[in-house]
Amino acid sequence: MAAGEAEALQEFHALHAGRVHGVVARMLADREEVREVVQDAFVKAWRQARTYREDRGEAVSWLLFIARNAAIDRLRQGARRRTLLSLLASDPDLRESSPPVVPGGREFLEHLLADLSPAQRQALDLAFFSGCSQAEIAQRMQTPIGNVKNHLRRGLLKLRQLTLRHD
Amino acid sequence: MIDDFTTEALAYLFDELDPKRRGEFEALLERDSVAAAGFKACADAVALYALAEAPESTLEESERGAMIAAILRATAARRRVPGWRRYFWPMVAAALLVANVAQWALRPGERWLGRRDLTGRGGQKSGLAGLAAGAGGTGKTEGTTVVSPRDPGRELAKELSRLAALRLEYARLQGSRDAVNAEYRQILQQLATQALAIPASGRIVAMELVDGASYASGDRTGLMDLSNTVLTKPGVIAAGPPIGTKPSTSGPTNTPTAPVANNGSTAASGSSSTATTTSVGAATTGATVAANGAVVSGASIITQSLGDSTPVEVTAGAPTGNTVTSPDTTPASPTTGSAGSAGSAGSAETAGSSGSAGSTGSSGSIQSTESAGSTDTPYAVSLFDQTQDQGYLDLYNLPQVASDQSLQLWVEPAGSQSFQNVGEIPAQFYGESGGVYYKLPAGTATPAQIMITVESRGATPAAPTGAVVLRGP
Repeated sequence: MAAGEAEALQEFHALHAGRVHGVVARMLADREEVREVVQDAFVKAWRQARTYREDRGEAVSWLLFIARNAAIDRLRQGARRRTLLSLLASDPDLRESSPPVVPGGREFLEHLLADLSPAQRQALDLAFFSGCSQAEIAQRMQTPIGNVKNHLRRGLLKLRQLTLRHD
Repeated sequence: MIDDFTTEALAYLFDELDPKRRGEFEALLERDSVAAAGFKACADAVALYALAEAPESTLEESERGAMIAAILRATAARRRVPGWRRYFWPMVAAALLVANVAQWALRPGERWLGRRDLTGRGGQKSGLAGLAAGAGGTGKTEGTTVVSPRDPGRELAKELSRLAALRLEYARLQGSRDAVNAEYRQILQQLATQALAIPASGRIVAMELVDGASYASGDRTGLMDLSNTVLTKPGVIAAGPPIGTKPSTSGPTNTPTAPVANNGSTAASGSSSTATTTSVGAATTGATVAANGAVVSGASIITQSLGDSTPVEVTAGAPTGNTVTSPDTTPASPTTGSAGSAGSAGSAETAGSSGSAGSTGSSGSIQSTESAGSTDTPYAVSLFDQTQDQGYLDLYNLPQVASDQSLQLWVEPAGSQSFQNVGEIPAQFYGESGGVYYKLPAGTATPAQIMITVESRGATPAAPTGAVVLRGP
């Protein structure tokens, strides 16, 4: 892609569009908006392909963060985020955290999530999908910010450990 | 530091840093390979989490087609730019620069750019030329410009063509260099992953492999810093496989369960510390290290198995993991590789054997041995960072002790005649292998001896009283 080959872009899209779409769909409600964000993410990835550094993460990770940050921008622009936060604050079920069901056929990913504690999942979830700052996460989870940092750090360490084993 | 780093890495990934902090963080990633590796792990872990949480969408073929068409349309402008167009403006700028330089490099009479007429009205030369002419007292010089017989346009074209060729060559070489570097890093990472599974010297070899920069520069900072990269919890290296089990070759499979008491903070990344490496154990022979990394000979490594009341000096023959020997000490077993082959990372053995070439600040050498860890006898590999007053101990085949007993770690600082208690070895390592950090009070002399003894659980002994499990420099 960095060399400007359209075929590479098409291949990249074929490989990752479904994944990125899934992640963005988890963040945005509007299907059209999801499509736009995914599309913009690929365009941005194409334009910034030269800046991609293999030693800073896998290509799919890089792409996911582009898409995630674009989706968060969308969330912040509109009222959706306010709605989401008020929903999180008012709904005791959500506050207690109900981990989403992972579809079958993805044993490794299921195992990965199963190994995280509910609090770790909730902290990661609010940080990644809702774009909450650590202070906001602490507020939503009704716990000190130090605990939030711990949840995030331990969650990441566990994920890293599991992926190392998987590799 | 890990805490702050993780927080900062997440903020960077989530695009929440202001430009100043972002720049600082990027600079950190550029200069610190450990931080860069930690960042990569962090990014990939979060991405994997997101993928696990959000199931992949099944896109309709039409939807997929429409999306890719839109993306191609949006990127068409750039894709259509032919390769030479990218160099057009830089070439124009270079041409103007060369022309400017050429104008001043040529003699005044040979100025060609614009073929300026230097005369003013009435045959007077203008500006500096006029002054020069006036000073010469002629005042009658006709304002004609002599054009050099050389064709500057042609020369310029030649220079530009050479410049373009050089640029292309530079880009090609840069691409090749990046590709080779990436491949080299990938090979090192693969070797390091495999080396991690090798008992005894595995982790040390992995550290040497990953930290190529420290290794090449000849210091041992990498040993302390990179032990950090295989940390699974603060202060604890993954526990080793149960005794008698064959280690997996597919990478680290160990799971820590608890942090060690008295553990120190993790090694400071990028510090300019000097770590001293030695091994302590039953099968080591003649391996001695004195304070400040100086290697001396004469002292013997002794060990004592549980139940024995008298320390037993180990006989030569059975090698252990990495052992530091003095220059005049003949290794008891054949060594693989040779000291001084710095830079070679073709295999875990080679790297392990050459990893310490000149790096302890002495002329000691590390021997990598194939039979490392093949025995059930306890042994250990020890590192000590003098600038941070902290040490790292890789323990193997620790004995199982009764439930009312514990294994205590002691150090005897150089110049001291007595052992100081450092802390209790985590119970998770009893009958197992594992690694621990320990921190000594600031200003404590480098340990001359390290010892592990069996003591009553719960008691805080002032001096070692129980059976010695491991003892050595």
